[in-house]
Amino acid sequence: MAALGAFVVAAITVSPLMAAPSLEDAVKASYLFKFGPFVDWPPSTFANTGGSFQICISGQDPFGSVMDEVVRGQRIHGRPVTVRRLSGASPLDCQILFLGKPTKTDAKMPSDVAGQPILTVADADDGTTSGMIEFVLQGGRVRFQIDDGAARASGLRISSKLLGLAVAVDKR
Amino acid sequence: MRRGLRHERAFTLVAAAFATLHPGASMAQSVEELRDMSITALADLDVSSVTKSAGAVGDAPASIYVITHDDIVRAGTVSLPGILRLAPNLEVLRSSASGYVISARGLNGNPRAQNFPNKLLVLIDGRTVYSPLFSGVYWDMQNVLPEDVDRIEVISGPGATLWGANAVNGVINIVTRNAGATQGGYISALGGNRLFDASLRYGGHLGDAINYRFYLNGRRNRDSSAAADDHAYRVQGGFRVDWNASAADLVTLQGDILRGSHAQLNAPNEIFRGGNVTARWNRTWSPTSALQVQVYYDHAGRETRKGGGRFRLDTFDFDAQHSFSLGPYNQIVWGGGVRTSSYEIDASAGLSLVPPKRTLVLANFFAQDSVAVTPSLTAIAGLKLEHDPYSGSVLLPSARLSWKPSARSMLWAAVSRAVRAPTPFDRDVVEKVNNVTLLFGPDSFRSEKLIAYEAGTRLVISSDASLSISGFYNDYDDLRSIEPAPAGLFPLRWGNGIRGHSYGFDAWADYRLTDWWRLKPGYSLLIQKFRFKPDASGLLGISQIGDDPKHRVSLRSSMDLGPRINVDMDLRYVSHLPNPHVNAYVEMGARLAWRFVEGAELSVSGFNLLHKSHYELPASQANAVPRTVYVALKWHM
Repeated sequence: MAALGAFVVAAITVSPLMAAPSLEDAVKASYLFKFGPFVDWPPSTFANTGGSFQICISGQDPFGSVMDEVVRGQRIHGRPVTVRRLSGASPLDCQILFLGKPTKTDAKMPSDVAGQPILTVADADDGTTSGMIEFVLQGGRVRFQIDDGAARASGLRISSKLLGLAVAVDKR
Repeated sequence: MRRGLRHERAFTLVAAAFATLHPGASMAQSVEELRDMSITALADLDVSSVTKSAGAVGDAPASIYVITHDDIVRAGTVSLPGILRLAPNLEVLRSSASGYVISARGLNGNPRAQNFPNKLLVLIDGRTVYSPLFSGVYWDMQNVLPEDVDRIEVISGPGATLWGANAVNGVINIVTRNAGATQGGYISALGGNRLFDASLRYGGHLGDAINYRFYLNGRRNRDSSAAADDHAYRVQGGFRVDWNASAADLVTLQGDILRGSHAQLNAPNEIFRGGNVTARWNRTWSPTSALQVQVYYDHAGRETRKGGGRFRLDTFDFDAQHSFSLGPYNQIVWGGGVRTSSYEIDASAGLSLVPPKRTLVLANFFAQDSVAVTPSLTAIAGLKLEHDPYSGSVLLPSARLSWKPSARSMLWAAVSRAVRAPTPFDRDVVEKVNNVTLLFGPDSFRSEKLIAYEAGTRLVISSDASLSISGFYNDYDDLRSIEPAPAGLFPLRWGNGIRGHSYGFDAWADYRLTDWWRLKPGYSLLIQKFRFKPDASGLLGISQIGDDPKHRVSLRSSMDLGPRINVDMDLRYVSHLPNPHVNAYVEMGARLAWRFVEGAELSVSGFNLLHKSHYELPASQANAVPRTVYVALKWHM
């Protein structure tokens, strides 16, 4: 009984985890990881990442621990994957940047990354942010559209296979 | 009678009264599974297809273990009983290549006394699959594609108020995935020293609102050993269509058709056939307000040729339930249903039912209220009125209490009453030898009754570890016995001459040692004390109630060696069976899986690896379980 009491005390003192994200958000988090192999980054972009592949989230984070679980023990282009929540920090060493709904500290984020070899991803219906890849909901399924022109202008090459899966591609 | 659809929502809604213990549990697909899906499969997944708040079932104040899709896929087994071995609160013992004895909290029966495990309610997508003829389950007739199963909820202990009269010692609720979550093509094929199995499935969609899938499965079990004549085969096909008629409405139509046969030593093969179709409408106004209406038809038949007897059974079932919030503190679930089971039996040489043809009508009405006494304390009271053709109307009450001192801990307690209502096998059976009646089912046979006292706790110790412990004290009365004729011995008749109690607990934990290694230990203790009532004859001894192990221990290990290789192992210990005696054993399973390209996996699985063969049931009633090894290929396209 004493042992049981100790368990209960331990359970009470641990802070509760974040609310569970929806399946839709979990699918989006999986996409962020899945996009990696279909995109080529200039080698120089890994100069300051300590050898890791960085998936960053700016603004509000809709994924919570699910993003960390998706990349747990995984590699992209042979590099271990790390997840960073920027909360106002510079996105310059990120390879993939998910633009969440802006918070006050991240308000100027999109202009910071313009022209950098960072694959930006956002929700299309968000309205306040736009990325090279934007998630759209179609018939209950999470699909995406790609602005290949913007990606090329930033020095990224997106494979034709990924372009083929997009519901719309803007070549510009 | 036990309801079909009740399962889907009633418990869920009860559970919704409690905060979530396991964050993320509400997702049908696990994160690991999403990560391992191809990008095209991700694009095809219907994210609106998740049954709302389904995961909350894991928080119900009961001894409930949820077998997840990932657990099933990683276990590598294809038979439903094999999958059910994953639940630490179930006793699964193999009797032949395709035969199993499955029970919860003991009372697994004794074929010598014609006592079969008959106190479980088993549901597949809301359809009751135990036979109303004797309340037991023909496990060789039940099958699902492991790949299409969303989860299996295993409740040890009574679920009579919400589920029905046969949920005496447990409920097994198998839920397959919405067709929106099984899109694309899939093939699997496996072969080895004892088993061959192949499956084909295709899922697609018509426009945005309608998802569908259809599948085909074939299986062949070889003889357990050269001396055992128990080889079997089965084929099954089916479909499921889910129509998202509006944001609030989901309409599901599904069905299966199957046939198969198994060999019997010194007798012709036994053949079975089955088919079913279910239509279900769910309307969800809000997380606490929902309506479900379901109707199904099910046909089952079994036959041993050359006069070995046969039966056919046709079941129609209608069920409806509604849940809503009554003010800020009360959550109500109420509903009812009617089922008709028409059967016809061609007697075998020794066994017949009188009358041989009959329609059983079962009806029920139930209501349950969950009251939030304080923000952390919830009281649940439920009552079911059930009308069965043999014992008339029965009241089945239950009371539960759940206390959540924090978001990561829950303590619960419950008192419930459950009955196993009489069946044709209890009341109409006539067994003869050389035209002399040996045994019959008398009109005096009453329901077997249980009052169960339970308490348990579930704890999330850290983000890496969780623990569940459920204790029980079951008080049984009027269990079936065999009594002699008032003057003399024959004809024998069923009586209600056994009473007694059992107690013990089920415990399991989930511990993630590292990013890549997870352990799941489980333990069950069962102590049974039964005796004959003073006026009972004591014929065949008290061991006729069952031959159950006192201890069952299991340990499962799941390792991810890099992103492409999974290694899974399991150990299980089952203590000896007392009477007839069966030795205790330790057995091991192992599986190595290699995802060689995206969507395709090659694996090697071994079961019962430690011995060439071992007995799980007495040799007089079962064949030894052999070591089994196979290679499997799975491909998602």
